[in-house]
Amino acid sequence: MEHREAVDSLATERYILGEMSEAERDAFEEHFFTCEICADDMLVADKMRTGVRAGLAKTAAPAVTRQRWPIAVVIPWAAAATLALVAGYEALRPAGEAGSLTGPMALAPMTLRPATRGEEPTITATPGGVVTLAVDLGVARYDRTLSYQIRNDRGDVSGSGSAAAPTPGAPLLLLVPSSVFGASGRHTLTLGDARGAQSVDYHFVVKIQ
Amino acid sequence: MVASVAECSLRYGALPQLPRYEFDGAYIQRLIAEDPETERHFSQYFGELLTLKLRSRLKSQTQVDDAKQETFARVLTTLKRKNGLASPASLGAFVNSVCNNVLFELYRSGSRTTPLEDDVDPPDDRRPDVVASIAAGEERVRVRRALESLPEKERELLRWLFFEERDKDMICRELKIDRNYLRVLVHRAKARFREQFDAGDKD
Repeated sequence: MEHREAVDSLATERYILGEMSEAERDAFEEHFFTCEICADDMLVADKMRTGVRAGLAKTAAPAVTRQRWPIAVVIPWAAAATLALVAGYEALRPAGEAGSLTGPMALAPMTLRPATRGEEPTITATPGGVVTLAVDLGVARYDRTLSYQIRNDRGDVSGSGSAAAPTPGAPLLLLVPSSVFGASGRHTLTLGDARGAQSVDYHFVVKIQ
Repeated sequence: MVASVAECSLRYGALPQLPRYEFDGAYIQRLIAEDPETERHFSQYFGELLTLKLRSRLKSQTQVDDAKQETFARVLTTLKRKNGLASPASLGAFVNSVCNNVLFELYRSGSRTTPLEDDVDPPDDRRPDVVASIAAGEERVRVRRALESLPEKERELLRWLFFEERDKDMICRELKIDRNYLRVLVHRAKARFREQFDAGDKD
């Protein structure tokens, strides 16, 4: 690889993002071992990446301002907050499950299998409830973390996040508030490898009753 | 003799403690003569590049260190045996090719033996020297400061990519950008990081 080509193709960025083929990677390594500019660029990029991986790129903490509130204002707000907390808990509690969480509570998850394995299951959800999904990872193996994304049939993303990868053979358990689905219809859950090497789709139909 | 480097002009922003050396015949002769300063420069400069290369291919830090040491040993042995290199400027290419050979042999020996479980890799009980530890600590502080000085959006993107290791296509969808532009964003973050990292050196 020539220096101009390395610069023009953002080779350093592609290298640290893991986007190069094996042949490209070998060619770029051969180059930066002899090119001090690219070697320097790689070392800087690697320090940045290593620093982020070590958790040194923290989010800026929101500024906290201390302010005294008059008691007449505090009491109604505290009551409203308590009410909201209770209502929120009730809303997030798995639908159809009675009782409180003072004892064990069984969940009845719906199992999702990769799109290539059989028909699309229908999941019944109640407004304000929560759906428990047990996602069968099949043969897919995830290193440490995986990312997930839920899309409706128009392709709009309604929910996403990342989670620690379950141990091999174990399903991924996802608690999804019904509000994420919005309306009845076909949805797709996509699980992605943290390194972007693979993604698996799970199609299912949501019926909100 | 390292008098020729007394000007101490800095060759690398990322390695400010490293004086400038040309990989020429004189450099290689100093390596063959086991000049301590040249050996230190050689192992530091190529050590970082080798670590970078090996980390993506080997499972543990111990393997990386072993492969690096083996590479250094072979390079120095060959230089002494041949009393130099036909083209001294190609020292970097030579180090890289020796490293490729070491890796190839490691893969081959690995395929003939039963690999240990990941968690069986014994802890590395080699201790870095005090100076190296202090330098590593100082560098960590500089890296942290440089990262903290980045705009929140850039820090968030870097966290998604390298800490949370999110799927890049998903990141692109979320940011409504394509993969090319993702590289550009990383390039800009890197440029800003370098600026701040180098500024930390001047403090």
